[in-house]
Amino acid sequence: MSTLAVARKDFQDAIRSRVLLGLTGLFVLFVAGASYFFARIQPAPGGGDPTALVLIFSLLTPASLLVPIIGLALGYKAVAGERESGRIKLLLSLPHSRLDVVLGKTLGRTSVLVVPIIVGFAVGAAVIFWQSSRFTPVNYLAFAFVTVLLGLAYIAIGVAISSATTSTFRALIGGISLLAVLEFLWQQVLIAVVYLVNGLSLPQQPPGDWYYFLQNLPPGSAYSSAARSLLPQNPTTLAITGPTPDAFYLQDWFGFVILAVWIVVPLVLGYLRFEGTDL
Amino acid sequence: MAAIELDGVTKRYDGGLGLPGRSSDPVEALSDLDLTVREGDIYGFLGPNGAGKSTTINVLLDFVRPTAGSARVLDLDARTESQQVRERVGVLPEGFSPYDRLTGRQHLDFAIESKDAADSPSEIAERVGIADALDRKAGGYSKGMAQRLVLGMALVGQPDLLILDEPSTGLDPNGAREMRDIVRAERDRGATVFFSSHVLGQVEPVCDRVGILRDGELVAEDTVEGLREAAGGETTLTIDVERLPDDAVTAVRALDGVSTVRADGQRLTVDCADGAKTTVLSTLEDNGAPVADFDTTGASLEEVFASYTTGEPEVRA
Repeated sequence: MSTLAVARKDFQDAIRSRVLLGLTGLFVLFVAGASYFFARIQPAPGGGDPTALVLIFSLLTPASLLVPIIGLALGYKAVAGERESGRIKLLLSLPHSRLDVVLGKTLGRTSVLVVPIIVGFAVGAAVIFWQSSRFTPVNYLAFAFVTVLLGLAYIAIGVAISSATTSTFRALIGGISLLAVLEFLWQQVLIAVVYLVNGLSLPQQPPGDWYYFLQNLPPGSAYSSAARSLLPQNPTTLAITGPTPDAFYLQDWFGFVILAVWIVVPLVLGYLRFEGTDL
Repeated sequence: MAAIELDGVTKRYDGGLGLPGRSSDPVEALSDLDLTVREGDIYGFLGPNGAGKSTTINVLLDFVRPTAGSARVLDLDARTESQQVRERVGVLPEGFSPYDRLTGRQHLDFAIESKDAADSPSEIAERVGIADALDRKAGGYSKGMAQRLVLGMALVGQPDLLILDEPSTGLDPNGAREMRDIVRAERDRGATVFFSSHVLGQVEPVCDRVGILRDGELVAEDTVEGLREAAGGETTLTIDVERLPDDAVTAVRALDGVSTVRADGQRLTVDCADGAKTTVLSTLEDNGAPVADFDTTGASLEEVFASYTTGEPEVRA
């Protein structure tokens, strides 16, 4: 109840901001543009008419970069900004717990993210429908849903960092650093770790399953896995994704588990830090 | 039952951030503070800036956690039962800012929803004097209007206790008077009011009891009258009379509460107890010395306050 009151107020506040308008515009441009590009220019594997499935796969990678940025942009100010401005005192003078604040903010910002994703994907669907003879709305909706989860994971990370610090500047720096490590430098970081652990040389034999698990750990990779698991297992899909390994934690559906962990763990840590601190 | 009860509350802030080279000495914002506010009182919490008034309020609201001691508000633990405390308390915090993009009405709606109250935003806005700005975004409010809006949020749900931190900040004299009227009305409704100020004039006309905080310690606590008496209550009267017969001077000198009388032509300077002022004037009139003009100086509560908050904690007896 209290959480929802905070979430509703947060959404009311954010919906009036230019940030939301900008995000919606950016996301619509991105999905529509990418849909058009891949439908028109990129030939489908094996030639012929591009299917919606192929389009979805084509959108995965750019979405896994854009959505985290939007998520962090929405999250990093959530709590630290309130502390900086003193609005937190207004919020906590009313009978809300600090948990209500963290959860309400996360929920409110997620609603803000859902708006551009829905609008963006609706426009994208129109473009695909226009360009491709075969359009599968169910797959497309599933894709939109997983994209919201990825956004939620990054909002959770952003809100968590925001809860753990007193300045939006520090929250921003923390968020950008984490984004860079997780989504841009992760492979290099892994190789560096293996190199160090292996006594300053790279191992000769191929790495075990654990290595692939770590590779899939960032939210963006988990998102791709989760999205793949929702698509029908037909020859087209297999041609793109290749065979799946046996270990359960390398299955595509495990991406959902990883995303859930990325949502819950940062929020718990951020809340604990926020709960224990003086405002 | 006490509305507020602080028991040995100490709050120390560690210096710096614990980073090497950036540490400074720990600051003790509150030192072993005991404070009791009776139910139904208007309690003025006075002290210069930096005395620890806001820290005290922050402890009551669980914004900061005391290093030692305990705080109870409305017989609830301020730390573990904070949410229940805030259900029954209305707060006008210090150093807040409103949500720029939300209207005054949305602010009040949020407070009403949060407190599960049935108030009407329009009525509250009327009461705090922002009715005509109710549907404008709070980002365009002046400091005084924002202050009124948040006072309105504090009034939502008929709280048992109002905690007002420097409530007259940003208000013009008229606004400050309206604020005091609301404070009195809330007390008459049965609420306890705890308000802090560094300006004595805001506290003096309205408070039942006054506590003076200095360097994190309560250096005086009494009624306004009591504080005035503790300060000695001496008033210096400067009186211009049309004639000054010796009899009149003698009569004034003989009055109770008059300590010194100096006559200089048609001007008389009298040091007397605060309550003896009118007797002095009427005695002069009765003894053939018509009063043309007079002026009172000293022994205002202002001086009491200054003596507590700047010099030694002891005041002259």
